[in-house]
Amino acid sequence: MNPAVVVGFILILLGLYNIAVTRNLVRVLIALELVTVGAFAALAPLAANNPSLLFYGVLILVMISVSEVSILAALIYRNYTLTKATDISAVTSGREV
Amino acid sequence: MIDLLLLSAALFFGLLTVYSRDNVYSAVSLASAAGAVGAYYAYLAQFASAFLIFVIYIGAVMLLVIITAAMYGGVQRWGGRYFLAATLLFLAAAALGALLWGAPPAKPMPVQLGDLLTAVIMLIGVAAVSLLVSIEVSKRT
Repeated sequence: MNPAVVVGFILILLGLYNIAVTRNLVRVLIALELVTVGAFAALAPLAANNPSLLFYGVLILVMISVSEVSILAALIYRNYTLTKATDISAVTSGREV
Repeated sequence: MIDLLLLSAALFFGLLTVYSRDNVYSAVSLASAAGAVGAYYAYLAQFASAFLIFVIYIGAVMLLVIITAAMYGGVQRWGGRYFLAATLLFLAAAALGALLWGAPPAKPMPVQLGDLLTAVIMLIGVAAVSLLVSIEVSKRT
């Protein structure tokens, strides 16, 4: 098996583990990006067969990561302005204050 | 040789991302891992994809991640230790790069995809692991 696929898989597993163990929204954001980096690494062996498909895959992954980062940053900003904390447990049923 | 080096650098910085206590150092390590993956793309001669990763992904997304981590609760502990580790790693990488620069150039190995079944099994494995993780998280909270 290709080492890039193995490294990408390990990075995806690490990101999921970090999402599972943390309670901080900033760490959730970082772990989500780690999953995206792992997907980049796992996508790399496509370069031998179909480079244009690889380019569009990378483009779609970048667009996905931009959207999820903007959503999570907005969530962190809203949570911080309302509760002065970036903890997940401060989010309780949509009404924090 | 260089591809394995880049991939191991990505793996190392990914581990550093997960096991670093401070959010800022974690975000910086994440940007380094993304840079290693982009360098791997450049090694595979995929320059358009490497451009996307370096300019758009690191320049916009990683900037937002680092700024968010710096604004909201970076603990700023172990700064000297992180700086020392990063400096040692950079020196080791520079020495290794100089060593590889002097070595006779080897032909880069062609990377083959294998069959599609492996990718499908990997995807199903990731889906199953994420399902387990979500079940455990929802049980805990």
